[in-house]
Amino acid sequence: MSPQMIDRLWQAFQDTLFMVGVSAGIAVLAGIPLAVFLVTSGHGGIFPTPRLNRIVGLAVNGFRAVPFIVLLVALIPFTRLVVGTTIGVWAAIVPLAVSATPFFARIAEVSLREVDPGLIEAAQSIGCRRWHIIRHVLLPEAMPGIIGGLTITVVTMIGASAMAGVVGAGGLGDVAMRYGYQRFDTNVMLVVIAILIVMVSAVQFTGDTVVRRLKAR
Amino acid sequence: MTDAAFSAGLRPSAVQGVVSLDSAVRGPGTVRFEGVGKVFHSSAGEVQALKDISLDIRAGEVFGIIGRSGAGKSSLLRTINRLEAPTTGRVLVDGQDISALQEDGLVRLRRRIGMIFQHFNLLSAKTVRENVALPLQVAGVARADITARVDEALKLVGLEGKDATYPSRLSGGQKQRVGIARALVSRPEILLCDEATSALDPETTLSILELLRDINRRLGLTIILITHEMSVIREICSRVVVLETGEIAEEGPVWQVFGAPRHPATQALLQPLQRDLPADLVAHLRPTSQGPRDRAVIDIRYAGRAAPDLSVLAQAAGAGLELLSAGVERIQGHSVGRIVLAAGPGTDLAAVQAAETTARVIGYVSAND
Ligand SMILES: Nc1ncnc2c1ncn2[C@@H]1O[C@H](COP(=O)(O)OP(=O)(O)OP(=O)(O)O)[C@@H](O)[C@H]1O
Ligand SMILES: [Mg+2]
Repeated sequence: MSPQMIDRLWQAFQDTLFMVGVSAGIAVLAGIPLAVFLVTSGHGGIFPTPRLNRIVGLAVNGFRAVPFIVLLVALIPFTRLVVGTTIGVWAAIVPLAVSATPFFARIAEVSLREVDPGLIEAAQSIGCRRWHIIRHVLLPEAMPGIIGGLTITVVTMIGASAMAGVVGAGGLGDVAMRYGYQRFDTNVMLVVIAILIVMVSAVQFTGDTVVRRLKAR
Repeated sequence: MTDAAFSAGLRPSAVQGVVSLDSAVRGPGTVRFEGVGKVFHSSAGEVQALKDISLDIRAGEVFGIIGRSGAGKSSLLRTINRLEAPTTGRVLVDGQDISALQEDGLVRLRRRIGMIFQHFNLLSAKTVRENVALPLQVAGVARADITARVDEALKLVGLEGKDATYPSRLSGGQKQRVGIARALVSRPEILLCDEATSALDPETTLSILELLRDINRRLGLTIILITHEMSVIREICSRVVVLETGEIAEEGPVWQVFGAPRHPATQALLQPLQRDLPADLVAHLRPTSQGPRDRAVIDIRYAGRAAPDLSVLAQAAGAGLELLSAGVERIQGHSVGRIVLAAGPGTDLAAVQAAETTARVIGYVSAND
Protein backbone atom coordinates (compact mmCIF):
# COMPACT_ATOMS: atom_id res chain seq x y z
CA MET A 1 0.00 0.00 0.00
CA SER A 2 1.34 3.41 -0.96
CA PRO A 3 2.23 6.01 1.65
CA GLN A 4 -0.43 8.26 0.10
CA MET A 5 -3.01 5.58 0.68
CA ILE A 6 -1.91 5.22 4.29
CA ASP A 7 -2.23 9.00 4.73
CA ARG A 8 -5.66 8.87 3.12
CA LEU A 9 -6.76 6.09 5.45
CA TRP A 10 -5.45 7.93 8.50
CA GLN A 11 -7.31 11.06 7.44
CA ALA A 12 -10.47 9.01 6.83
CA PHE A 13 -10.18 7.38 10.25
CA GLN A 14 -9.92 10.79 11.89
CA ASP A 15 -12.89 12.08 9.91
CA THR A 16 -15.04 9.13 10.94
CA LEU A 17 -13.99 9.49 14.55
CA PHE A 18 -14.81 13.20 14.47
CA MET A 19 -18.16 12.83 12.72
CA VAL A 20 -19.33 10.04 14.97
CA GLY A 21 -17.91 11.63 18.12
CA VAL A 22 -19.51 15.02 17.63
CA SER A 23 -22.87 13.68 16.51
CA ALA A 24 -22.91 11.14 19.37
CA GLY A 25 -22.27 14.03 21.77
CA ILE A 26 -25.21 15.92 20.26
CA ALA A 27 -27.37 12.78 20.39
CA VAL A 28 -26.63 12.43 24.12
CA LEU A 29 -27.26 16.10 24.89
CA ALA A 30 -30.52 16.14 22.97
CA GLY A 31 -31.60 12.52 23.32
CA ILE A 32 -31.56 12.25 27.11
CA PRO A 33 -33.80 15.27 27.69
CA LEU A 34 -36.03 13.98 24.90
CA ALA A 35 -36.22 10.55 26.55
CA VAL A 36 -36.93 12.09 29.95
CA PHE A 37 -39.66 14.19 28.36
CA LEU A 38 -41.23 11.16 26.69
CA VAL A 39 -41.26 9.27 29.99
CA THR A 40 -42.37 12.00 32.37
CA SER A 41 -44.93 13.81 30.22
CA GLY A 42 -47.11 10.78 29.55
CA HIS A 43 -50.37 10.00 31.29
CA GLY A 44 -49.68 9.55 35.01
CA GLY A 45 -46.11 10.83 34.65
CA ILE A 46 -44.59 13.45 36.91
CA PHE A 47 -44.99 16.22 34.31
CA PRO A 48 -48.19 15.12 32.62
CA THR A 49 -48.79 16.86 29.28
CA PRO A 50 -50.28 13.95 27.33
CA ARG A 51 -51.07 15.90 24.18
CA LEU A 52 -47.57 17.32 23.73
CA ASN A 53 -46.23 13.89 24.62
CA ARG A 54 -48.17 12.36 21.74
CA ILE A 55 -47.02 15.01 19.27
CA VAL A 56 -43.35 14.62 20.20
CA GLY A 57 -43.71 10.84 20.10
CA LEU A 58 -45.08 11.05 16.55
CA ALA A 59 -42.26 13.36 15.47
CA VAL A 60 -39.69 10.95 16.89
CA ASN A 61 -41.30 8.06 15.03
CA GLY A 62 -41.29 10.13 11.87
CA PHE A 63 -37.54 10.74 11.99
CA ARG A 64 -36.92 7.11 12.85
CA ALA A 65 -38.96 5.93 9.87
CA VAL A 66 -36.82 7.81 7.32
CA PRO A 67 -33.78 5.83 6.06
CA PHE A 68 -30.52 7.61 6.84
CA ILE A 69 -29.49 7.97 3.21
CA VAL A 70 -32.75 9.79 2.49
CA LEU A 71 -32.39 11.95 5.58
CA LEU A 72 -28.88 12.85 4.50
CA VAL A 73 -30.20 14.37 1.28
CA ALA A 74 -33.52 15.64 2.57
CA LEU A 75 -31.82 17.61 5.33
CA ILE A 76 -29.48 19.49 2.99
CA PRO A 77 -31.40 22.80 3.28
CA PHE A 78 -31.50 22.44 7.05
CA THR A 79 -27.81 21.56 7.13
CA ARG A 80 -26.97 24.68 5.16
CA LEU A 81 -29.00 26.73 7.61
CA VAL A 82 -27.22 25.27 10.64
CA VAL A 83 -23.59 24.89 9.57
CA GLY A 84 -23.52 27.16 6.52
CA THR A 85 -22.28 24.48 4.13
CA THR A 86 -23.62 21.34 2.47
CA ILE A 87 -20.37 19.48 1.98
CA GLY A 88 -17.65 18.21 4.29
CA VAL A 89 -17.53 16.68 7.74
CA TRP A 90 -19.83 19.23 9.34
CA ALA A 91 -22.43 18.65 6.67
CA ALA A 92 -22.50 14.99 7.66
CA ILE A 93 -22.65 15.72 11.39
CA VAL A 94 -26.03 17.44 11.13
CA PRO A 95 -27.93 14.52 9.54
CA LEU A 96 -26.04 11.99 11.67
CA ALA A 97 -27.07 13.78 14.86
CA VAL A 98 -30.62 14.26 13.65
CA SER A 99 -30.90 10.57 12.91
CA ALA A 100 -29.12 9.33 16.06
CA THR A 101 -31.01 11.54 18.52
CA PRO A 102 -34.47 9.93 18.18
CA PHE A 103 -32.88 6.49 17.91
CA PHE A 104 -30.96 6.95 21.15
CA ALA A 105 -33.90 8.70 22.84
CA ARG A 106 -36.18 5.71 22.25
CA ILE A 107 -33.61 3.31 23.72
CA ALA A 108 -33.00 5.56 26.73
CA GLU A 109 -36.75 5.91 27.14
CA VAL A 110 -37.11 2.16 27.58
CA SER A 111 -34.51 2.15 30.36
CA LEU A 112 -36.14 5.12 32.08
CA ARG A 113 -39.52 3.43 31.97
CA GLU A 114 -38.09 0.37 33.65
CA VAL A 115 -37.18 2.32 36.79
CA ASP A 116 -39.28 0.87 39.62
CA PRO A 117 -42.25 3.21 40.30
CA GLY A 118 -41.71 2.38 43.98
CA LEU A 119 -38.45 4.35 43.83
CA ILE A 120 -40.26 7.39 42.48
CA GLU A 121 -42.80 7.07 45.27
CA ALA A 122 -40.08 6.73 47.87
CA ALA A 123 -38.46 9.87 46.46
CA GLN A 124 -41.76 11.73 46.62
CA SER A 125 -42.29 10.56 50.17
CA ILE A 126 -38.97 12.05 51.31
CA GLY A 127 -39.84 15.42 49.81
CA CYS A 128 -38.15 15.29 46.41
CA ARG A 129 -39.38 17.78 43.87
CA ARG A 130 -39.93 16.60 40.34
CA TRP A 131 -36.55 17.63 39.03
CA HIS A 132 -34.92 15.93 42.00
CA ILE A 133 -36.66 12.75 40.93
CA ILE A 134 -35.21 13.08 37.44
CA ARG A 135 -31.75 13.85 38.74
CA HIS A 136 -31.52 11.48 41.70
CA VAL A 137 -33.81 8.63 40.72
CA LEU A 138 -34.64 8.33 37.02
CA LEU A 139 -31.28 9.11 35.44
CA PRO A 140 -28.94 7.30 37.91
CA GLU A 141 -31.17 4.23 38.14
CA ALA A 142 -31.52 3.98 34.36
CA MET A 143 -27.84 4.74 33.71
CA PRO A 144 -26.70 1.18 32.90
CA GLY A 145 -29.46 0.87 30.30
CA ILE A 146 -28.73 4.34 28.92
CA ILE A 147 -25.03 3.55 28.51
CA GLY A 148 -25.93 0.25 26.87
CA GLY A 149 -28.22 2.17 24.51
CA LEU A 150 -25.49 4.69 23.76
CA THR A 151 -23.17 1.82 22.78
CA ILE A 152 -25.73 0.53 20.30
CA THR A 153 -26.29 4.05 18.99
CA VAL A 154 -22.59 4.74 18.40
CA VAL A 155 -22.08 1.42 16.64
CA THR A 156 -25.05 2.17 14.39
CA MET A 157 -23.63 5.65 13.71
CA ILE A 158 -20.27 4.23 12.68
CA GLY A 159 -22.16 2.21 10.09
CA ALA A 160 -24.28 5.15 8.98
CA SER A 161 -21.24 7.43 8.65
CA ALA A 162 -20.09 5.28 5.73
CA MET A 163 -22.79 7.02 3.70
CA ALA A 164 -21.45 10.43 4.57
CA GLY A 165 -19.42 10.33 1.34
CA VAL A 166 -22.62 11.41 -0.39
CA VAL A 167 -22.14 14.89 1.04
CA GLY A 168 -18.36 14.74 0.55
CA ALA A 169 -17.61 14.27 4.19
CA GLY A 170 -14.99 11.60 3.66
CA GLY A 171 -14.43 9.06 6.33
CA LEU A 172 -13.62 5.37 6.18
CA GLY A 173 -16.77 4.32 4.38
CA ASP A 174 -16.06 6.83 1.64
CA VAL A 175 -12.53 5.48 1.13
CA ALA A 176 -13.83 1.93 0.97
CA MET A 177 -16.41 2.90 -1.63
CA ARG A 178 -14.10 4.91 -3.82
CA TYR A 179 -10.99 2.75 -3.78
CA GLY A 180 -12.24 -0.62 -2.74
CA TYR A 181 -15.51 -0.80 -4.65
CA GLN A 182 -15.09 1.48 -7.63
CA ARG A 183 -11.38 0.73 -8.31
CA PHE A 184 -11.37 -2.88 -7.14
CA ASP A 185 -8.54 -2.30 -4.65
CA THR A 186 -9.34 -5.24 -2.39
CA ASN A 187 -6.51 -4.44 0.03
CA VAL A 188 -7.94 -1.03 0.83
CA MET A 189 -11.34 -2.58 1.31
CA LEU A 190 -9.96 -5.16 3.74
CA VAL A 191 -7.97 -2.60 5.70
CA VAL A 192 -11.03 -0.37 6.06
CA ILE A 193 -13.13 -3.29 7.22
CA ALA A 194 -10.45 -4.23 9.75
CA ILE A 195 -10.33 -0.68 11.09
CA LEU A 196 -14.13 -0.58 11.36
CA ILE A 197 -14.18 -3.89 13.21
CA VAL A 198 -11.61 -2.59 15.67
CA MET A 199 -13.57 0.64 16.19
CA VAL A 200 -16.86 -1.13 16.73
CA SER A 201 -15.24 -3.63 19.11
CA ALA A 202 -13.59 -0.85 21.07
CA VAL A 203 -16.91 0.98 21.45
CA GLN A 204 -18.72 -2.19 22.44
CA PHE A 205 -16.03 -3.19 24.92
CA THR A 206 -15.95 0.25 26.53
CA GLY A 207 -19.73 0.35 26.80
CA ASP A 208 -19.95 -3.14 28.25
CA THR A 209 -17.24 -2.38 30.79
CA VAL A 210 -18.96 0.78 32.00
CA VAL A 211 -22.30 -1.02 32.26
CA ARG A 212 -20.70 -3.87 34.20
CA ARG A 213 -19.08 -1.42 36.61
CA LEU A 214 -22.38 0.38 37.17
CA LYS A 215 -24.26 -2.83 37.72
CA ALA A 216 -21.67 -4.28 40.06
CA ARG A 217 -22.57 -1.94 42.87
CA MET B 1 -22.79 10.82 72.31
CA THR B 2 -25.01 9.51 75.02
CA ASP B 3 -28.27 7.83 74.16
CA ALA B 4 -30.28 10.63 75.67
CA ALA B 5 -28.51 13.42 73.86
CA PHE B 6 -28.63 11.39 70.72
CA SER B 7 -32.32 10.77 70.79
CA ALA B 8 -32.93 14.38 71.68
CA GLY B 9 -31.00 15.27 68.54
CA LEU B 10 -33.54 13.41 66.45
CA ARG B 11 -36.58 14.48 68.37
CA PRO B 12 -38.85 16.40 66.05
CA SER B 13 -39.38 19.29 68.36
CA ALA B 14 -35.79 19.65 69.52
CA VAL B 15 -34.03 22.64 68.10
CA GLN B 16 -30.40 21.95 68.84
CA GLY B 17 -27.25 23.35 67.30
CA VAL B 18 -28.39 21.94 64.01
CA VAL B 19 -31.44 23.92 63.00
CA SER B 20 -33.88 22.00 60.92
CA LEU B 21 -35.28 23.85 57.93
CA ASP B 22 -38.90 23.58 58.78
CA SER B 23 -38.86 22.96 62.48
CA ALA B 24 -41.25 25.86 62.89
CA VAL B 25 -44.13 24.00 61.30
CA ARG B 26 -43.60 20.67 63.02
CA GLY B 27 -46.52 19.58 65.08
CA PRO B 28 -47.31 16.74 67.38
CA GLY B 29 -48.20 14.25 64.66
CA THR B 30 -51.94 13.74 64.62
CA VAL B 31 -53.92 12.56 61.63
CA ARG B 32 -57.65 12.94 61.13
CA PHE B 33 -59.63 11.39 58.31
CA GLU B 34 -62.97 13.04 57.62
CA GLY B 35 -65.28 11.04 55.37
CA VAL B 36 -62.39 10.01 53.14
CA GLY B 37 -63.37 8.20 49.95
CA LYS B 38 -61.24 7.10 47.03
CA VAL B 39 -62.32 5.90 43.63
CA PHE B 40 -59.80 4.51 41.17
CA HIS B 41 -60.57 4.63 37.47
CA SER B 42 -58.91 1.75 35.74
CA SER B 43 -59.41 -0.06 32.45
CA ALA B 44 -61.53 -2.60 34.33
CA GLY B 45 -63.89 0.16 35.46
CA GLU B 46 -64.25 2.06 38.69
CA VAL B 47 -62.94 0.70 41.96
CA GLN B 48 -64.17 2.17 45.20
CA ALA B 49 -61.05 1.64 47.29
CA LEU B 50 -62.19 3.70 50.29
CA LYS B 51 -65.66 4.61 51.49
CA ASP B 52 -66.39 7.32 54.03
CA ILE B 53 -63.48 6.70 56.36
CA SER B 54 -63.49 8.83 59.49
CA LEU B 55 -60.76 8.19 61.97
CA ASP B 56 -58.52 9.95 64.44
CA ILE B 57 -54.91 8.99 65.00
CA ARG B 58 -53.36 10.44 68.11
CA ALA B 59 -49.96 11.97 68.56
CA GLY B 60 -47.27 9.54 69.57
CA GLU B 61 -49.29 6.35 69.25
CA VAL B 62 -48.52 3.23 67.24
CA PHE B 63 -51.58 2.72 65.11
CA GLY B 64 -52.25 -0.43 63.08
CA ILE B 65 -54.25 -0.85 59.88
CA ILE B 66 -55.31 -4.39 59.04
CA GLY B 67 -57.64 -5.98 56.56
CA ARG B 68 -57.74 -8.48 53.78
CA SER B 69 -55.79 -7.95 50.57
CA GLY B 70 -57.44 -5.21 48.54
CA ALA B 71 -59.33 -3.83 51.55
CA GLY B 72 -57.85 -0.39 50.96
CA LYS B 73 -55.10 -0.28 53.59
CA SER B 74 -52.40 1.11 51.33
CA SER B 75 -54.80 3.55 49.73
CA LEU B 76 -55.71 4.90 53.16
CA LEU B 77 -52.12 5.16 54.37
CA ARG B 78 -51.03 6.87 51.18
CA THR B 79 -53.59 9.65 51.58
CA ILE B 80 -51.64 10.82 54.63
CA ASN B 81 -48.68 12.06 52.59
CA ARG B 82 -50.85 12.47 49.52
CA LEU B 83 -49.17 9.88 47.42
CA GLU B 84 -52.86 9.27 46.82
CA ALA B 85 -55.37 12.12 46.78
CA PRO B 86 -58.79 11.30 48.24
CA THR B 87 -61.73 11.62 45.88
CA THR B 88 -63.99 12.83 48.68
CA GLY B 89 -63.49 13.97 52.26
CA ARG B 90 -60.39 15.47 53.83
CA VAL B 91 -57.24 14.42 55.58
CA LEU B 92 -55.90 16.69 58.30
CA VAL B 93 -52.35 16.41 59.52
CA ASP B 94 -51.93 18.31 62.76
CA GLY B 95 -55.19 20.02 61.96
CA GLN B 96 -54.05 21.19 58.54
CA ASP B 97 -56.14 20.16 55.54
CA ILE B 98 -53.58 18.76 53.14
CA SER B 99 -55.81 18.56 50.08
CA ALA B 100 -55.22 22.15 49.05
CA LEU B 101 -51.42 21.96 49.14
CA GLN B 102 -49.46 22.89 46.03
CA GLU B 103 -46.06 21.37 45.24
CA ASP B 104 -44.18 23.56 47.76
CA GLY B 105 -46.57 22.81 50.58
CA LEU B 106 -46.68 19.15 49.69
CA VAL B 107 -42.91 18.88 49.72
CA ARG B 108 -42.85 20.54 53.15
CA LEU B 109 -45.58 18.20 54.42
CA ARG B 110 -43.74 15.14 53.17
CA ARG B 111 -40.60 16.19 54.98
CA ARG B 112 -42.62 15.87 58.19
CA ILE B 113 -43.87 12.42 57.31
CA GLY B 114 -41.46 9.52 56.87
CA MET B 115 -42.44 6.40 54.99
CA ILE B 116 -41.01 2.90 54.74
CA PHE B 117 -41.97 0.23 52.25
CA GLN B 118 -42.27 -3.52 51.93
CA HIS B 119 -39.58 -3.65 49.25
CA PHE B 120 -37.46 -0.94 50.88
CA ASN B 121 -37.30 1.18 47.68
CA LEU B 122 -33.67 2.19 48.14
CA LEU B 123 -31.80 3.81 45.27
CA SER B 124 -29.43 1.21 43.89
CA ALA B 125 -27.11 3.78 42.34
CA LYS B 126 -26.46 5.48 45.68
CA THR B 127 -24.55 4.27 48.71
CA VAL B 128 -26.20 3.83 52.09
CA ARG B 129 -24.97 7.27 53.10
CA GLU B 130 -26.20 8.90 49.89
CA ASN B 131 -29.59 7.24 50.27
CA VAL B 132 -30.01 8.47 53.81
CA ALA B 133 -28.63 11.91 52.93
CA LEU B 134 -31.01 12.47 50.01
CA PRO B 135 -33.96 13.90 52.00
CA LEU B 136 -31.63 16.51 53.51
CA GLN B 137 -29.77 17.16 50.28
CA VAL B 138 -32.97 17.97 48.38
CA ALA B 139 -34.09 20.14 51.28
CA GLY B 140 -30.93 22.21 50.88
CA VAL B 141 -29.42 21.41 54.28
CA ALA B 142 -25.77 22.40 54.59
CA ARG B 143 -23.26 19.68 53.83
CA ALA B 144 -21.72 19.56 57.29
CA ASP B 145 -25.11 19.25 58.91
CA ILE B 146 -26.05 16.49 56.52
CA THR B 147 -23.01 14.45 57.53
CA ALA B 148 -23.79 14.83 61.21
CA ARG B 149 -27.44 13.96 60.85
CA VAL B 150 -26.84 10.99 58.58
CA ASP B 151 -24.34 9.69 61.14
CA GLU B 152 -26.98 10.09 63.84
CA ALA B 153 -29.64 8.31 61.83
CA LEU B 154 -27.33 5.45 60.88
CA LYS B 155 -26.35 5.05 64.49
CA LEU B 156 -29.99 5.02 65.55
CA VAL B 157 -30.74 2.09 63.24
CA GLY B 158 -27.50 0.32 64.08
CA LEU B 159 -25.79 0.64 60.70
CA GLU B 160 -22.61 2.51 61.56
CA GLY B 161 -19.78 1.48 59.30
CA LYS B 162 -22.06 0.48 56.42
CA ASP B 163 -22.29 3.96 54.98
CA ALA B 164 -20.12 3.35 51.90
CA THR B 165 -21.92 0.14 50.95
CA TYR B 166 -24.42 -0.10 48.10
CA PRO B 167 -27.90 -1.40 49.05
CA SER B 168 -27.57 -4.52 46.88
CA ARG B 169 -24.88 -5.74 49.28
CA LEU B 170 -27.17 -5.59 52.31
CA SER B 171 -29.54 -8.14 53.83
CA GLY B 172 -33.27 -7.45 53.87
CA GLY B 173 -33.17 -6.38 57.49
CA GLN B 174 -30.27 -4.03 56.84
CA LYS B 175 -32.03 -2.57 53.82
CA GLN B 176 -35.10 -1.85 55.93
CA ARG B 177 -32.85 -0.19 58.51
CA VAL B 178 -31.52 2.07 55.76
CA GLY B 179 -35.14 2.75 54.80
CA ILE B 180 -35.90 3.70 58.39
CA ALA B 181 -32.83 5.92 58.64
CA ARG B 182 -33.82 7.65 55.41
CA ALA B 183 -37.34 8.17 56.74
CA LEU B 184 -36.13 9.53 60.07
CA VAL B 185 -33.29 11.75 58.96
CA SER B 186 -35.64 14.69 58.33
CA ARG B 187 -36.93 14.30 61.89
CA PRO B 188 -40.50 13.58 60.93
CA GLU B 189 -43.38 13.58 63.37
CA ILE B 190 -45.17 10.69 61.66
CA LEU B 191 -43.79 7.45 60.27
CA LEU B 192 -45.86 5.46 57.76
CA CYS B 193 -45.03 1.78 57.34
CA ASP B 194 -46.62 -0.17 54.49
CA GLU B 195 -45.96 -3.83 55.25
CA ALA B 196 -42.47 -2.91 56.33
CA THR B 197 -41.69 -6.37 57.70
CA SER B 198 -43.54 -8.51 55.17
CA ALA B 199 -40.41 -9.32 53.19
CA LEU B 200 -38.37 -10.24 56.27
CA ASP B 201 -37.86 -13.47 58.17
CA PRO B 202 -39.43 -13.77 61.65
CA GLU B 203 -36.24 -13.00 63.54
CA THR B 204 -35.44 -9.93 61.46
CA THR B 205 -39.09 -8.87 61.77
CA LEU B 206 -38.73 -8.91 65.53
CA SER B 207 -35.58 -6.81 65.45
CA ILE B 208 -37.21 -4.25 63.13
CA LEU B 209 -40.28 -4.11 65.38
CA GLU B 210 -38.02 -3.62 68.35
CA LEU B 211 -36.40 -0.73 66.51
CA LEU B 212 -39.76 0.82 65.61
CA ARG B 213 -40.98 0.54 69.17
CA ASP B 214 -37.75 2.07 70.39
CA ILE B 215 -38.07 4.95 67.93
CA ASN B 216 -41.65 5.52 68.98
CA ARG B 217 -40.66 5.71 72.64
CA ARG B 218 -37.50 7.73 72.28
CA LEU B 219 -38.55 10.17 69.58
CA GLY B 220 -42.23 10.24 70.41
CA LEU B 221 -43.25 10.10 66.78
CA THR B 222 -46.56 8.72 65.64
CA ILE B 223 -46.26 5.41 63.80
CA ILE B 224 -48.99 4.21 61.46
CA LEU B 225 -48.45 0.75 60.10
CA ILE B 226 -50.07 -1.75 57.78
CA THR B 227 -49.36 -5.41 58.22
CA HIS B 228 -50.73 -8.84 57.45
CA GLU B 229 -48.97 -10.24 60.50
CA MET B 230 -51.37 -10.02 63.43
CA SER B 231 -48.52 -10.72 65.80
CA VAL B 232 -46.94 -7.43 64.68
CA ILE B 233 -50.08 -5.56 65.67
CA ARG B 234 -50.24 -7.35 69.01
CA GLU B 235 -46.56 -6.71 69.55
CA ILE B 236 -46.37 -2.95 69.07
CA CYS B 237 -49.70 -1.27 68.29
CA SER B 238 -51.88 0.49 70.78
CA ARG B 239 -54.91 0.89 68.54
CA VAL B 240 -56.00 -0.77 65.36
CA VAL B 241 -58.51 -0.26 62.58
CA VAL B 242 -59.88 -3.15 60.54
CA LEU B 243 -60.78 -2.31 56.95
CA GLU B 244 -63.11 -4.39 54.86
CA THR B 245 -63.82 -3.50 51.21
CA GLY B 246 -62.85 0.09 51.81
CA GLU B 247 -64.89 0.60 54.96
CA ILE B 248 -64.08 0.53 58.65
CA ALA B 249 -65.17 -2.84 60.01
CA GLU B 250 -64.08 -2.09 63.54
CA GLU B 251 -61.65 0.06 65.39
CA GLY B 252 -60.33 0.31 68.90
CA PRO B 253 -57.56 -0.59 71.33
CA VAL B 254 -55.72 -3.71 70.20
CA TRP B 255 -56.55 -5.63 73.36
CA GLN B 256 -60.25 -5.01 72.75
CA VAL B 257 -60.35 -5.73 69.05
CA PHE B 258 -58.13 -8.76 69.40
CA GLY B 259 -59.67 -9.97 72.62
CA ALA B 260 -63.24 -9.85 71.43
CA PRO B 261 -63.38 -9.39 67.65
CA ARG B 262 -66.91 -8.44 66.66
CA HIS B 263 -66.74 -8.18 62.90
CA PRO B 264 -66.46 -11.35 60.77
CA ALA B 265 -63.56 -9.76 58.87
CA THR B 266 -61.63 -9.34 62.11
CA GLN B 267 -62.44 -12.85 63.19
CA ALA B 268 -61.20 -14.20 59.87
CA LEU B 269 -57.98 -12.21 60.14
CA LEU B 270 -57.37 -13.37 63.68
CA GLN B 271 -58.07 -17.02 62.90
CA PRO B 272 -54.39 -18.01 62.62
CA LEU B 273 -53.68 -16.47 66.01
CA GLN B 274 -56.31 -18.56 67.76
CA ARG B 275 -54.39 -21.69 68.42
CA ASP B 276 -56.31 -22.40 71.58
CA LEU B 277 -59.03 -24.47 69.92
CA PRO B 278 -57.39 -27.92 69.58
CA ALA B 279 -57.33 -29.26 66.05
CA ASP B 280 -58.81 -32.65 66.96
CA LEU B 281 -61.71 -30.88 68.65
CA VAL B 282 -62.33 -28.79 65.55
CA ALA B 283 -62.29 -31.98 63.47
CA HIS B 284 -65.01 -33.56 65.59
CA LEU B 285 -67.13 -30.48 65.94
CA ARG B 286 -70.60 -30.77 64.37
CA PRO B 287 -72.94 -27.84 63.86
CA THR B 288 -75.98 -29.61 65.32
CA SER B 289 -76.66 -32.12 68.05
CA GLN B 290 -76.98 -35.63 66.62
CA GLY B 291 -78.32 -37.40 69.70
CA PRO B 292 -79.33 -36.95 73.30
CA ARG B 293 -75.88 -37.96 74.55
CA ASP B 294 -74.00 -35.31 72.51
CA ARG B 295 -72.15 -32.67 74.44
CA ALA B 296 -72.36 -28.96 73.66
CA VAL B 297 -69.10 -27.09 73.18
CA ILE B 298 -69.17 -23.67 74.85
CA ASP B 299 -66.78 -20.96 73.83
CA ILE B 300 -66.09 -18.05 76.17
CA ARG B 301 -63.91 -15.11 75.24
CA TYR B 302 -63.09 -12.22 77.43
CA ALA B 303 -60.86 -9.20 77.23
CA GLY B 304 -59.78 -6.57 79.70
CA ARG B 305 -61.47 -8.13 82.70
CA ALA B 306 -60.95 -11.00 85.09
CA ALA B 307 -61.58 -14.52 83.86
CA PRO B 308 -65.11 -15.82 84.49
CA ASP B 309 -65.39 -17.79 87.73
CA LEU B 310 -65.52 -21.42 86.64
CA SER B 311 -67.15 -22.58 89.87
CA VAL B 312 -70.03 -20.17 89.28
CA LEU B 313 -70.44 -21.54 85.79
CA ALA B 314 -70.31 -25.13 87.02
CA GLN B 315 -72.99 -24.34 89.56
CA ALA B 316 -75.19 -22.72 86.96
CA ALA B 317 -74.72 -25.65 84.61
CA GLY B 318 -75.92 -28.11 87.22
CA ALA B 319 -74.37 -31.09 85.47
CA GLY B 320 -70.78 -31.88 84.57
CA LEU B 321 -68.76 -29.22 82.75
CA GLU B 322 -65.47 -30.30 81.32
CA LEU B 323 -62.66 -27.89 80.52
CA LEU B 324 -61.44 -28.64 77.00
CA SER B 325 -58.95 -25.84 76.55
CA ALA B 326 -58.09 -22.46 77.96
CA GLY B 327 -55.60 -19.79 77.17
CA VAL B 328 -54.84 -16.37 78.54
CA GLU B 329 -52.43 -13.81 77.21
CA ARG B 330 -51.69 -10.27 78.02
CA ILE B 331 -51.96 -7.54 75.40
CA GLN B 332 -50.86 -4.09 76.55
CA GLY B 333 -51.51 -5.00 80.16
CA HIS B 334 -54.97 -6.41 79.52
CA SER B 335 -55.88 -10.05 79.96
CA VAL B 336 -57.30 -11.57 76.84
CA GLY B 337 -58.53 -15.10 77.22
CA ARG B 338 -60.48 -17.89 75.74
CA ILE B 339 -62.07 -20.85 77.55
CA VAL B 340 -63.63 -23.82 75.79
CA LEU B 341 -65.92 -26.08 77.82
CA ALA B 342 -67.85 -29.24 77.02
CA ALA B 343 -71.27 -29.55 78.69
CA GLY B 344 -72.76 -32.99 79.17
CA PRO B 345 -76.42 -33.89 78.58
CA GLY B 346 -78.76 -32.27 81.04
CA THR B 347 -76.69 -29.11 81.35
CA ASP B 348 -78.69 -25.94 81.78
CA LEU B 349 -77.16 -23.99 78.85
CA ALA B 350 -79.42 -21.01 79.40
CA ALA B 351 -78.22 -20.69 82.97
CA VAL B 352 -74.59 -20.85 81.84
CA GLN B 353 -75.28 -18.12 79.34
CA ALA B 354 -76.99 -16.07 82.01
CA ALA B 355 -73.96 -16.42 84.28
CA GLU B 356 -71.53 -15.59 81.49
CA THR B 357 -73.02 -13.50 78.74
CA THR B 358 -70.18 -14.06 76.25
CA ALA B 359 -70.67 -17.84 76.37
CA ARG B 360 -71.57 -19.19 72.97
CA VAL B 361 -72.34 -22.73 71.84
CA ILE B 362 -70.06 -23.30 68.86
CA GLY B 363 -71.08 -26.90 68.10
CA TYR B 364 -71.48 -30.38 69.42
CA VAL B 365 -69.28 -33.41 69.88
CA SER B 366 -70.49 -36.95 70.44
CA ALA B 367 -70.12 -38.44 73.91
CA ASN B 368 -67.16 -40.66 73.12
CA ASP B 369 -65.00 -37.99 71.41
N1 LIG C 1 -53.57 2.84 41.21
C1 LIG C 1 -54.69 2.08 41.24
N2 LIG C 1 -55.49 1.98 40.17
C2 LIG C 1 -56.61 1.24 40.18
N3 LIG C 1 -57.03 0.54 41.24
C3 LIG C 1 -56.28 0.58 42.35
C4 LIG C 1 -55.06 1.34 42.41
N4 LIG C 1 -54.52 1.19 43.64
C5 LIG C 1 -55.36 0.38 44.31
N5 LIG C 1 -56.42 0.01 43.55
C6 LIG C 1 -57.54 -0.83 43.97
O1 LIG C 1 -58.04 -0.34 45.17
C7 LIG C 1 -58.36 -1.37 46.07
C8 LIG C 1 -57.59 -1.19 47.37
O2 LIG C 1 -56.23 -1.33 47.11
P1 LIG C 1 -55.12 -1.20 48.24
O3 LIG C 1 -53.80 -1.31 47.57
O4 LIG C 1 -55.38 -0.01 49.06
O5 LIG C 1 -55.41 -2.51 49.10
P2 LIG C 1 -54.57 -3.10 50.32
O6 LIG C 1 -55.52 -3.26 51.43
O7 LIG C 1 -53.36 -2.30 50.55
O8 LIG C 1 -54.20 -4.53 49.74
P3 LIG C 1 -52.87 -5.40 50.00
O9 LIG C 1 -53.01 -6.01 51.34
O10 LIG C 1 -52.95 -6.44 48.91
O11 LIG C 1 -51.69 -4.51 49.87
C9 LIG C 1 -58.03 -2.66 45.35
O12 LIG C 1 -59.22 -3.18 44.81
C10 LIG C 1 -57.10 -2.25 44.27
O13 LIG C 1 -57.22 -3.08 43.16
MG1 LIG D 1 -51.24 -2.67 50.31
